[in-house]
Amino acid sequence: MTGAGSLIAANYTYYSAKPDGLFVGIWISGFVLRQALGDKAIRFDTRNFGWIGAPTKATPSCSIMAHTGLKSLKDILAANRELKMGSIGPGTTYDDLPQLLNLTLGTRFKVISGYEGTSTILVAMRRKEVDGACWGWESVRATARPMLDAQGDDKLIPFLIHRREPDLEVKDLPLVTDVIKSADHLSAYKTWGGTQEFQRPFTVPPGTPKERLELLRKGFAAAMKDPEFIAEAEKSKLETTYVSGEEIEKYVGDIIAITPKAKELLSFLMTQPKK
Amino acid sequence: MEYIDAFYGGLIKILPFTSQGQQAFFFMLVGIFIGFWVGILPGLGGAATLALMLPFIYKMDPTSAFAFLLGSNSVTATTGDITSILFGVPGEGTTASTIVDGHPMAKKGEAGRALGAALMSSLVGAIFGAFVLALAIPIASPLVLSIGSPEFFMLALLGITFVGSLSGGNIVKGLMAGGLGLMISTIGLDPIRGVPRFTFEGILGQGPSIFLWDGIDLVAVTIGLFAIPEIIDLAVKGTSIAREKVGKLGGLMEGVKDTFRHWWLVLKCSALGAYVGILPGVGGGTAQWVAYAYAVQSSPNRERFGKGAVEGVLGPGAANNSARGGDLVTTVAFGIPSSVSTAILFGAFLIQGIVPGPDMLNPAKHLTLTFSFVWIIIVANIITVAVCFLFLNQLAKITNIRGSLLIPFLLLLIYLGGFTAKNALGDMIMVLIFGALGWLMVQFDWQRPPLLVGLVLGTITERNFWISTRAYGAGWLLHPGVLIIAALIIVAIVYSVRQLLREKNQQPATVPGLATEPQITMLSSPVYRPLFALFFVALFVYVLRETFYEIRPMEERAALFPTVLGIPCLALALFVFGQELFNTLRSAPGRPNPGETASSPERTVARRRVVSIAAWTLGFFLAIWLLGFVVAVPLASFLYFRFAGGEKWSISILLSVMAWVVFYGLFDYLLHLPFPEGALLVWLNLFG
Repeated sequence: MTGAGSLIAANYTYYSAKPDGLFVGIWISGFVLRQALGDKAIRFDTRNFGWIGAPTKATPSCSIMAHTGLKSLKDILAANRELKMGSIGPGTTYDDLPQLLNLTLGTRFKVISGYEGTSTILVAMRRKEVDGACWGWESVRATARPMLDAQGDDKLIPFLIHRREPDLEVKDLPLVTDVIKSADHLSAYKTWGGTQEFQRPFTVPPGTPKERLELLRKGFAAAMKDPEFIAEAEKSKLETTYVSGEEIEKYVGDIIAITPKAKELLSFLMTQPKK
Repeated sequence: MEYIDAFYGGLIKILPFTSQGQQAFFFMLVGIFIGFWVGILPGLGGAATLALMLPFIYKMDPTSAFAFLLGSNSVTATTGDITSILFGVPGEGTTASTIVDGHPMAKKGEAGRALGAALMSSLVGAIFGAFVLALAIPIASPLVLSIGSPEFFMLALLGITFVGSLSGGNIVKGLMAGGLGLMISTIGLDPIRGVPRFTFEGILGQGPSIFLWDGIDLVAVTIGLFAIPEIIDLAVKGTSIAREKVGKLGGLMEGVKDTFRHWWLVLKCSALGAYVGILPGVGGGTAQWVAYAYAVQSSPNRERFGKGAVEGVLGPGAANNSARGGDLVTTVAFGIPSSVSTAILFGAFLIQGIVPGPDMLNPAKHLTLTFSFVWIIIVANIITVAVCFLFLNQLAKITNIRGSLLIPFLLLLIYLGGFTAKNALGDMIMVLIFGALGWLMVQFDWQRPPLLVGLVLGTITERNFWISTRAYGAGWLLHPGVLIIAALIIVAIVYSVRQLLREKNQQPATVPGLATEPQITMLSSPVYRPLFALFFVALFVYVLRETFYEIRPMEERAALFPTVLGIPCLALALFVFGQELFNTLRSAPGRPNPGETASSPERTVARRRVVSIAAWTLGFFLAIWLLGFVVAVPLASFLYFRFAGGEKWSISILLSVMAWVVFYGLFDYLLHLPFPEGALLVWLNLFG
């Protein structure tokens, strides 16, 4: 069920699917934040879904091309110059994170939105149309591997990451939460980052009997721990991190309980009518 | 020497001379078998099928895995042409342009010739694309990196200028249809800020409006524009698809000879397709139309196109296949997939533990595997074309079956093709809407290809315009590549205008064997033509109103493209309206309408048949919506066979069961497509 960045699937799960435990909806966790921010396109209450679990977390990261002559966050802040960051469009990490960093760290990223996908952004980086981009490390290390390994101007250099990761290129990078100093800014970032803690969540429609939800949660947990599944995921270079339904419920509750200040700071993430 | 060894080694790896080769060859055959049917059946998309095939490669070695996946992927465009030519329904999204001239050839009894031309040009295109893959990999990097967003924008503009040559003599109508296509491409969330545009939330409510957020699907539009008018035509004429007996000209070998008669066109279109395929984000869907436009533009007899010109089959046939080879270049050379299909193939690289990029060119690492890709594309297409040639003369005879026996099957294909675009009933409604538009366009001599060119190029144009402006300011206008393409655009426009003027000054050339089939004009009153043009005036007024009062207050940037398009489109619509009104007023009472060939009683019968087939088409959709596919397919088919077609009870029952078995067995039982339950059954809580 494609369309509208999985909003059609989320709506269908909420309003149309039968709550009999036989229908499972998978859609993006970003809708929880959009609900919290009061986006009028989100007409469901994400707290009412039955959350089975999620197979992975996301680790947003930002990288820059060597042709800029900059190698670290420190260089970027010191250079105090405009840097072009490629993006697919609004509502994605490509778009949100550079703007959040402008707000919280004072960087001068200019988001160049409209690319078709990661691959076209990578080409744009190589032809120096953009200087870098922010997106999930699990995707960077798979899709941009030749650029991470390259030498000279074509090298892609990660400079900031959401959480600690063991890979050589990022294990010593500064964490976003360490470099944001203001409490309000940190609260806003953490609210945004809350949706990164449960990616591709599996949900059942509101009203699904509790015992069926429990059964699905158990089955999901067992699948996530299955050695054959883990081996196949590793072979595909897919990172899996099991997040339980109960944990997701807590994340959702925290995001919806956004502070007024964080809501105000994050309001730029939504397109709003001009008054 | 190492390269030659690797090139030879790549071939040996996929041929059944070694035990590893036997395995790879076997999986390639399985892949070809799957790709063959995926191409033929409109309900199955190549990329979606690749995704379904991906889990099977975990336990295969790399050569077998790619033989399996590429074997399937490289033949879908070849077999997709078969459905496009025989039934006027695109087998694949990338074979839609083959309908424009291929299906009229089938109607003239030249199905075999069209199929021969499509298959042979496909084979040439596939081989060309495969060699481009082999040769371009070392130079892919500078080739791709030389094309930035500004150059992309200009290339899209160059493509749009082709609309002029697809206008069928009336350049204003052609430009307006192209503008309409561009405008349709703006429906949905804008690609820059995500503002909903023309989603009719106030009229349709939130649910249908959200469906439109994702834009209008190209497959649904193509099926509607081309297939529905063909079904109506088939029902009205009350004959088989082929109006003339399949004779000597219907022969497959004639089409093969055509490929060699127009050898340079086939090679040039193959090169165009491969180049378009290499460009990230553009693929066979665009390549086919660019090639078709080129075939028209380079022909001295443009008036033959759209009526069954074999060059209109050869150009796209070659381009949509060569694009597949070009498509792989960036994936293999530096791990950057340029389309949905290659993104899935990229997943296969990861599963096999291979990192695309420089290692693929290293003789000590994966160069032999890279060359095996080239051979897989070539061998898979040779096998497919050879198999097709064995029975295509028989398949071409389908066009001699009477229409009443085919129509329910065609309606099933149309609705399945629409539904599976996004697994949504909404796309079936799109098929109906664009079907009505397509039929009216045929009635009033509007060309449909410009609309599709506009739709294909619209998003590319808007995206790249914005990226260029945001990344470079106005400086991009002076990029050398931009200036060169701008010069090409000017040359193309001047050439087009000169060609048109020359054609106007000349008497139309009579081309033997290409007489147009008499068109029964149903809407013969002279009032209808200006009314149809007035519809577009009203449409563009609405578009501009929405742009200024709904979109602009949300985000000025999202409103710019619709404004820039809407104003000239409105001007063109007003011009066409004036032109049609003038013609209507000028025509003396009692003077026959242009194109009107049928006598009054014939027209009455034809009108009755149009109303009847329109009702059946709509009824088929309503049955699917209310009862679900599983119940509606046999029921609606049976009712049509028995009561509209007047077939015997036994034949009606037998064919309805056949339709159900094909539908249920393939799409429901085997592929588990998520067909919705019938709305009526849900209301009655029959599954409760």
